[in-house]
Amino acid sequence: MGGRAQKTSLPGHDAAAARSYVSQTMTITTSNKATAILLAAGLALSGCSPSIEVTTTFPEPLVDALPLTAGIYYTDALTNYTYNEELPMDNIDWTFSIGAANQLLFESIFNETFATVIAVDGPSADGIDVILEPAIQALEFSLPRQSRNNQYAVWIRYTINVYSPDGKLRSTVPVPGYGEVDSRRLKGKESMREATVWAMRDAASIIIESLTKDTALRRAVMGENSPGEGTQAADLADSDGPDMEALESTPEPLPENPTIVGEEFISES
Amino acid sequence: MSPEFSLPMTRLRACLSVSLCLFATACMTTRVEGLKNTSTGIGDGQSIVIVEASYHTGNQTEDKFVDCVTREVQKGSAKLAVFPDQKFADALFPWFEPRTMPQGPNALPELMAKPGVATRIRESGVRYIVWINGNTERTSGGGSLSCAVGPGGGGCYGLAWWENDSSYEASIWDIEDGESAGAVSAAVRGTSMIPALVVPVPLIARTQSAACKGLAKELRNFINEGST
Repeated sequence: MGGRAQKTSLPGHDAAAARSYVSQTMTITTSNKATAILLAAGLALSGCSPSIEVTTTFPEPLVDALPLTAGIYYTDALTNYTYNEELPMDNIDWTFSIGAANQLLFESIFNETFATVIAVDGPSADGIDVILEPAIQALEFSLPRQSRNNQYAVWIRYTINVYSPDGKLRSTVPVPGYGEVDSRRLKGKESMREATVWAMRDAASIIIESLTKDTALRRAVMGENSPGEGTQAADLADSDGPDMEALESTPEPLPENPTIVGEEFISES
Repeated sequence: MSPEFSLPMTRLRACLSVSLCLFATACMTTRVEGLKNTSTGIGDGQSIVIVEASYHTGNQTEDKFVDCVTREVQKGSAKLAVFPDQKFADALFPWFEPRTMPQGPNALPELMAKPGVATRIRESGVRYIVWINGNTERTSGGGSLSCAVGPGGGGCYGLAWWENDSSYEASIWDIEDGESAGAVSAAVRGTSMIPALVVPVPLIARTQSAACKGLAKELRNFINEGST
């Protein structure tokens, strides 16, 4: 049914270009359709075991490469990573298989953030400047009914071990990743897969950003006496960002029942 | 009660239900506002990208609302070209992720200064970034509706109602000028009800859909205003 619309011009706050306007419409809508109410019957989900397998590729980062030759040590624990959790209330097993995607993710990150990248078999090697060993410390997830909103959420905590070429551990840097997806957009399993991808991308964005700023990760990668560290670190000393602060702190276990948003979770790390 | 009497009563109830269905209304109030900071316009080959504000800032805009606005602005005579948001985020990875995306127009220069970003945006043809904020909430409700089924049939009796409030804002950033072009907002309040006299008749106020269409229309006008 047609409504009535009024548009009123108000004085602009800037003489030349600025202008504001308000339109207010009162609409009376007639429903001509008698849509039946379907009372959804509860679905018995016993025996259902969703398996989340991430096989996606990740975009090439837009970043200037550090002038270093980096060795990347991919452990079997990372490249074969699976996580399984049974939700006691539902008797549903959730399984996350993200090992192959982990390798794709870190290859995507490090191939662009270092001038030269070599895969190495251990935390020491000759002819390189630094060795990085990415690892997963924890993965957690929450369903909409747990968090009482419409979001499927995934938390992943990676760590990056940074070694000197002689195998000496310089630093272990925690990297949290958080992703959430609206359950009304995709079906449950697909939403969870999408949330996992967003969590991985989130972790990637932290790693890449931290390599461009004065952070523990960058300092460890560059080495204490790196000639580049002093100059660029001084330029970026004023740069802020809660995620960067998180990288400086000591990791703590993930919350038992993560119902809070990622930013809050990360601030605790 | 004789069959002769009960049959007309059944018909009467059915007629009442159909009448309610046809003539009763769900009421909505729509308010659309715009605030313009600079002159706007969009050239041939230029497009906009529509993104929802980051969930890292607590924003809970529904994905389907953003999809709806994206669809609606591409309709009509003043339609706008929309660059896919996921493709935009991928092209600028990792600087347009939920955590790293700029939180205000003041952050635009910093974004553009990052290596390769200005070139990628220029190549994409995106002129405006439209940030969607807001959500739809059920603010109140009441009444009661009960249904029963027996050997001779079934039916529902009662009245249930609820009120939804859809409030959204779209902030428009002009990438070319590196500043905020302004914002448009849509607030729709509507009361839905389900009266039932044997047959329930849902009268749904689709506030989110109305907010989407209102916002998209204002957005088209807002951006196209300076176009020739």
